[in-house]
Amino acid sequence: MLKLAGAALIVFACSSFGFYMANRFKLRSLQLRALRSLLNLLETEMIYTSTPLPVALEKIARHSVEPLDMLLLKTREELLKGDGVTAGEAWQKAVDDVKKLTCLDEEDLGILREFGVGLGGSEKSEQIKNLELTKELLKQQEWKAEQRRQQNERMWRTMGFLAGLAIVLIMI
Amino acid sequence: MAAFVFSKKTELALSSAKAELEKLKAEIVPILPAHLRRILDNLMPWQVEQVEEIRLREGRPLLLRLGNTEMPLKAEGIPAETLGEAYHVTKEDLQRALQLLSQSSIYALEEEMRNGYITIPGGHRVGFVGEAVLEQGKVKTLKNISSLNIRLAREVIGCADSVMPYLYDPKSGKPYHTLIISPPRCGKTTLLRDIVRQFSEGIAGAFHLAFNVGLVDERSEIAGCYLGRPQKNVGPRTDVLDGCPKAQGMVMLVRSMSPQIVATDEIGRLEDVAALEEMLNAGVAVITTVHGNNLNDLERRPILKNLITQDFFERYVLLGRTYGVGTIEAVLDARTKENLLAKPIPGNLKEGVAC
Repeated sequence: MLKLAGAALIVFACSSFGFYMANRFKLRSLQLRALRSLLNLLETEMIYTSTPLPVALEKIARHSVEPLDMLLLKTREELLKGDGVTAGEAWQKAVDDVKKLTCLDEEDLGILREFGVGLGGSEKSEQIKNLELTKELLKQQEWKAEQRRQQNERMWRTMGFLAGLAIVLIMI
Repeated sequence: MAAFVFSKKTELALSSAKAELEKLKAEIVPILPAHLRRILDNLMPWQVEQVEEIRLREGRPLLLRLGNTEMPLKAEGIPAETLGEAYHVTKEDLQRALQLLSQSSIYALEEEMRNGYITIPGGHRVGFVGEAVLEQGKVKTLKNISSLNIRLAREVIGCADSVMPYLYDPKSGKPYHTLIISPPRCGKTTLLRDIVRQFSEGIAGAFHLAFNVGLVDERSEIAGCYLGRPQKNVGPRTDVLDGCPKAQGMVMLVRSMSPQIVATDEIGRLEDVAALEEMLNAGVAVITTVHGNNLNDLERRPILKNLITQDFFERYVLLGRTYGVGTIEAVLDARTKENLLAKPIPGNLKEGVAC
């Protein structure tokens, strides 16, 4: 009886892990898309309404999904501390602070860090270039993420369950 | 007993001066790059009091302007003996300072870039120059900013105390049309600010001598507005039209806020004079300033000549530096050209107040 319970637990744990991994692929896609729409909002605030960055970040954070709003709020917080930090540095620090909470991979994070370099530090035409470039790069990442999701999502789901079964069989 | 009271008073004065310095530092420090933040720390309090300008020029020495002297600084804030020893400001420093003072929103500074200055919290002004980007022959924006000039704004509450009695009719209580004539850097903006404040609060706190004042602050110097809100004390009955061209602003104020007094700084253009004449017809008292050493100077300037010969104003206040910055050299009755002061009044402005 105890054996059976143990076996069930192993299968359950392994398939949960499989589902978790599968879900990460899906979430990465979603987060990349959310990032792009976030940048669109940021562009509107910066270019068309000339909103100062801290105000713009707070505004957009209200419309953003879970881990990404933290990215914006942390940047804002760092910026307003008055420690002599520029928006670029604040953004890059925030990226590193929240990366554990997101499903983004190193490549995605690299694009975000790169975006931080020019953030807020130049006039509008330069800012537009930076925003457009980042959006384009994120779009490519989104496409890649979608591909990988299609390849891996089902595999992880079934593999988790099967691996659990295999372990049980070996142990029995 | 008297001695005790005296010492208590000095102590109070000292602690309030100290608090003011702390406030000043708290306003200036956030816009400086981290490694330059200590530049005010190593100065004596009386030196900090005198700091007028902090100059950052790319590739050139870091300079402080104190009253009539200059002080090159090392990065740690220690005064340098020669210019060569001083800290040389880098492009990175300027870029960073610009980002810090705009809260990293340089893209939002279009208007300020065109004008070449920005007002920061506390009413201090930062001017900048660089490479002008033209559009149809007009300056569209500046890029590659190469010099920053941080001008510290100070208010001296009460510096108009000695002239106030001459600026209104003691019988009817009606304020006179007043022109403050002053060479640059003699404290005319500071004086104007305090006159505005006193009229607004009521002279000597008297309600019947309190007026609604409309202030057109074209260069954000008088009230030092940040996001539209005055950072300097300009009185409870003062409406500030910030960043608005003077001539247009005066007319707007009369229509919208029904002021009894309109105040503005540095008149000199043709349209300013036309607007002043309109104020006269609207029955509004005007207090304004102009660059010049004396009345004769103004009569030589074609645009201002009429104002003088037609006796538009009722009082002229002449500033100078006979007894230091802010010395009130004379208060003239415009009709008789008679000096109402027995002798010049030394300014109680501290040395080093920017105009």
